[in-house]
Amino acid sequence: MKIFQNLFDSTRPVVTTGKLKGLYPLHNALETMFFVPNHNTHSGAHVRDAVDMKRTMITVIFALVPALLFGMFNAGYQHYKAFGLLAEGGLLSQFFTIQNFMFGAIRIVPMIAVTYIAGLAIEIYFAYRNKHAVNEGFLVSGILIPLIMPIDIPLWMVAISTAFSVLFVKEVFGGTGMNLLNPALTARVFAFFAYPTYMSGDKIWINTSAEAGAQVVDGYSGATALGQLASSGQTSYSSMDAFWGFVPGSIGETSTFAILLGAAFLIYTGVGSWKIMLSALVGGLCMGLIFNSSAHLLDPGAMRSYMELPFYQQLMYGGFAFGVVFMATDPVSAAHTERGKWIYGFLVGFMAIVIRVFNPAYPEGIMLAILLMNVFAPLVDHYVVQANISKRLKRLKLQQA
Amino acid sequence: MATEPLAVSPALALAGREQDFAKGLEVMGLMSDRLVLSIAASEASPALTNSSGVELHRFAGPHPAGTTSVHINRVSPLNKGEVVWTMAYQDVAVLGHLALTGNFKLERTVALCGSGMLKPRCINATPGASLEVFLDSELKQGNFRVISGSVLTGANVGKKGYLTYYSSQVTAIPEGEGTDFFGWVIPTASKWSISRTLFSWLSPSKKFDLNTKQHGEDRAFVVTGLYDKVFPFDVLPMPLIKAMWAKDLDQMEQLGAYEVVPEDFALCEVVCPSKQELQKMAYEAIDLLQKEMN
Repeated sequence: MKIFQNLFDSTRPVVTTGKLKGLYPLHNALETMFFVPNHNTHSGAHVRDAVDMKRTMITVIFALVPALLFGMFNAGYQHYKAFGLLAEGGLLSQFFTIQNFMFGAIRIVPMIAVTYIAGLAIEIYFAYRNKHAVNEGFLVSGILIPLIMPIDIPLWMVAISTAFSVLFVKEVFGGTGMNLLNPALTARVFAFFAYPTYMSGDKIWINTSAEAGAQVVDGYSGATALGQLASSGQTSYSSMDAFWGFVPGSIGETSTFAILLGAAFLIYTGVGSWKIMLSALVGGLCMGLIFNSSAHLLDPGAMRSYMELPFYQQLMYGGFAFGVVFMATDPVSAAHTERGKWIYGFLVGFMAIVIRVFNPAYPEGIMLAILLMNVFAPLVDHYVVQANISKRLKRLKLQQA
Repeated sequence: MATEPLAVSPALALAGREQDFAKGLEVMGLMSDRLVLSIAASEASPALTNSSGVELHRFAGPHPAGTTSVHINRVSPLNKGEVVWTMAYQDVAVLGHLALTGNFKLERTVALCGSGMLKPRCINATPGASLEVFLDSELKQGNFRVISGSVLTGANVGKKGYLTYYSSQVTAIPEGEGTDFFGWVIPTASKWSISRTLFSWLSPSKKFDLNTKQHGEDRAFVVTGLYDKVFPFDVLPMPLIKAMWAKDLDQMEQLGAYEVVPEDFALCEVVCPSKQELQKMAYEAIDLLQKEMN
């Protein structure tokens, strides 16, 4: 520890008064990363909670670990499965192998690195330009962005999407804490709309770069469960496979179970809003039930059989769970008031199912539903605040009457 | 009712001054048509429970259940243009003593508290008294912050400071020293937090020797909903503090700025992970509001 402290101490003059002034935010960010600074309270309350922004953010990252690790195994599993290269045996012994894990890690770790480099470079530049410390918001975004990307996306696309979202969704609005939209989801949406031929369809979800002599197995389809449902109303993946996560999809989104572990951790530590998660769940179930009960009104076809999918299964397929737990709960872009969170969460869940079923071009309804509700969150808050104001006015009128 | 950390118990502070207190209430009754006395639900001292000529209200719960703003909000919420006068119970006794004997004797019971005190106890002291005179023999060796008042709202007066007018306690807690190597990653049970992101929740009854560390740097508002957990009544703390920060007087007024004092944000400030100086913001904004209104 002493070595690090000495290193920071000896380099400080260069970045504060010396030639490399531009690097001060970087120096400061690194130093406060290694050492929580010895700041003491100087106004107001003399004692403070031990939790700061960094601790809050790292807690979210801890919650993402199960989904991340699962995603690494799954990337390899899907790849070897497509080529029929899985060893004989049960599903679990086929799934949790070092080979699978290494296959995923080799592709996912560079994605995380590229995301952090692209995002943090911009954040540090703006910290320097606007003369403030580097905020920790991107700590989480840097993991979230790779987790909602398909495994086969080129690294340059990850970098451009990240840069776009940090620049135009965060910094344009004033940086961390001021953004209207969720930066991680915006990166995903940018990739989705900027490279539609690449980002949709069946090619991207499973890595099928063939090894020498390997052939894709007969009957192979790279489509995700939602892709299949959108086009035919049927899926070849069972809902239990989707719940445990042995299906193709974005890296971190497939295993509802791993995501639920993260959700439990977020709720228990008090970092994630259980109100948003619960109300989004209720919203999703509601819409699923509405579809189930009204499906018979439609002519038989893909949409009708999609609507007939048992309502609880809607929550297991696709990115619904990941979006609700990790994206909708982003405190900055969600509703800020406690009552607003109930409304916001409910509509996220509700709209996600609506969009995914009614709009086959966008099977990932949750992504658009959350961004839509991000835009409406200030409106929801406005009415909650307005209710508080009018309650006060009413009291005043009663008093005067 | 006293709920601030390490505050003097009212029954103890009034011991021997019961008559002064009763007389004080009587005098106050002459000045007002509605006299409200707020005491703790568990209060058993006859000096407080047998008070005559007052509307008695009992409050229970942890801090901020004992703050004046909470009492006013629960008993009769303040509207724009209304005025409520408040008096601390020790000052009521001072008033009563003045009426009974003609002597203006400000002496009050003051708690010497905090982990920096050698013998935490109550003493009699007069506001304005120099702390330097006796702190030498009361303080432990080491770097301690001497606060006139509680750790939440008191003033850092230093070892050579004076007892401020409204405080009835002198708190000494250790100054935070040194940096924390990877303090934000390494899980520990030795730091206190309202959240469960550290491991102090494993031992809920554990007592912490809190110091003055801020535990992090100032950041933008990010986390929402935390203030609501510790804010006691139906004012929306986050929108209000933002209106205060922006000095938006209209919005402040609508959101209930007349019902709060800066001290009401003390707990929000304690739990804020962005380490914002909420009491200072509120103080400046309410000050401005007062100037603009008069």
